[in-house]
Amino acid sequence: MRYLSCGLGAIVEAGKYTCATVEYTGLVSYGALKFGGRVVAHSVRKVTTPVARGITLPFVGMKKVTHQIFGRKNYFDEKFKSVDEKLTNIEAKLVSIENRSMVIRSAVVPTMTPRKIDLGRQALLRKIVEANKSLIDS
Amino acid sequence: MAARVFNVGIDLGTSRTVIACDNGERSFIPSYLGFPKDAVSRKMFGKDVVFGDEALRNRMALDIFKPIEKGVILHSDDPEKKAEQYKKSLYVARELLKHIIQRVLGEKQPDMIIRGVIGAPALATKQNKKALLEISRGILDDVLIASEPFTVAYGLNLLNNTLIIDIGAGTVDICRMHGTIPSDEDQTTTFKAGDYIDQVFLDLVTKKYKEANLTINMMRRFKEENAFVSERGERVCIVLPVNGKPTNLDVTDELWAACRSIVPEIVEAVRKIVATFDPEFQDGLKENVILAGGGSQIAGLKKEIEAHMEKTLGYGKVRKVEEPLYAGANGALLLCKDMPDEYWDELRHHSSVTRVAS
Repeated sequence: MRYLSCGLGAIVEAGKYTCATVEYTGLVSYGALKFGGRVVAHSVRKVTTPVARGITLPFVGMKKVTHQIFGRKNYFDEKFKSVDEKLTNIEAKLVSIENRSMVIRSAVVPTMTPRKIDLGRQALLRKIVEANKSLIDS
Repeated sequence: MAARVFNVGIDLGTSRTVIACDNGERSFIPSYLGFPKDAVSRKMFGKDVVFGDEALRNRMALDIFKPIEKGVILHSDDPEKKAEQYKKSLYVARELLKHIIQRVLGEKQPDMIIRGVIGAPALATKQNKKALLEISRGILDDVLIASEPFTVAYGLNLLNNTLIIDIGAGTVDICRMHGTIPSDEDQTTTFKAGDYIDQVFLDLVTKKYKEANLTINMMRRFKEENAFVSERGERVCIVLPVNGKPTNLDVTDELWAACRSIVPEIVEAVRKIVATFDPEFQDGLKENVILAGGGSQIAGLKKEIEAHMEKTLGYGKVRKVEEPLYAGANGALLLCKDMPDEYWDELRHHSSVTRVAS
């Protein structure tokens, strides 16, 4: 055991002990605060995580869908390109078939209802009929 | 049982016969027929008449006939003078017509009424047109003959202030439309058309490559894919047998010269048709020049005509039809469909009365 001596040395020693005490107290307080904080943070996390998950779940789903659609590089470009190529091939085949004087059957059968003919057009058609009648007579 | 009415538009062309039907079908065949030369070829084909491309492909085993020349039935200008040949032409043309109608409509059923409009060249004579009526008898129940450039204009609904240039194989028909049926003064026909190009091309190539073996059919096929009149372009080469060996021959200049050979007559005819029109409406006509027919596909022809029109008439705007091959038949079909039933009845009645009277 050390004996306290009077004078300046005693004062310095006392100061050192004071500092050590304050330091120790601080460490104890820090440990207590840290432990408390951990407990609180854990509880808060426990409460808030499911809530946050619940809120963000639809967004996660949306993200997955949008990623599927847009995330793949040139998804639409590829699709459009393949459809375009198929159409071009079909058109080329049709042209080639038609060039070999094959019959092209229209997918849509035209309606048989006659067009409305105005009076001017009727007069024109009448003239054609008259010209053909005179041809038959000749 | 109610009768089913079918309308057809027919373009009996020198090179191709084209049909459009209102059941949505359309077709064309080269205007050629072949009859087997002997029993062996008849056995090979299994039929008495061979049509179109098949006839051309097997022409060595067939007697080939081309019933249309310069847009009209062969010998129909002077039927009395060459009665036998005319009769044969009528028979062949009739077979061709029957065949192409069967292609789009199948066998004729008793409940079918077939109405048709047949195009004739702009300045076809009455005899030429009567020959068309003659061949359609028994095939079409009702028939009308209309000017080919008119049917083109009708199909495009360009009946006013329009100038139609229809370049076929046998004729080039030029016709101004001014809201009514064109008269003889409104139309003109030149005979330097597709066939003329083929002949000039053949002559020029033969002159340049004396040892090459070539036929007019080879020249025609090559021309149909490569024809041009523009000043600058790629060189065009044709592979022709020279002493039996396929040889690549440059025919750029010959093809260019052959295609250009029809241009002066066309532009002169255009100039005349425009210049003789009412001066107040000439501008409208120059604004609306329509290029139709197979010859309209010649690269650079549109610009060439525009340049000539600018030189001689001050201005000219030329457009090409979208479907040069079907433009005439489509217009004829539209005309056929638009014709009211009572007009058809009237025509049929008139026809039967005239036949009984004669």
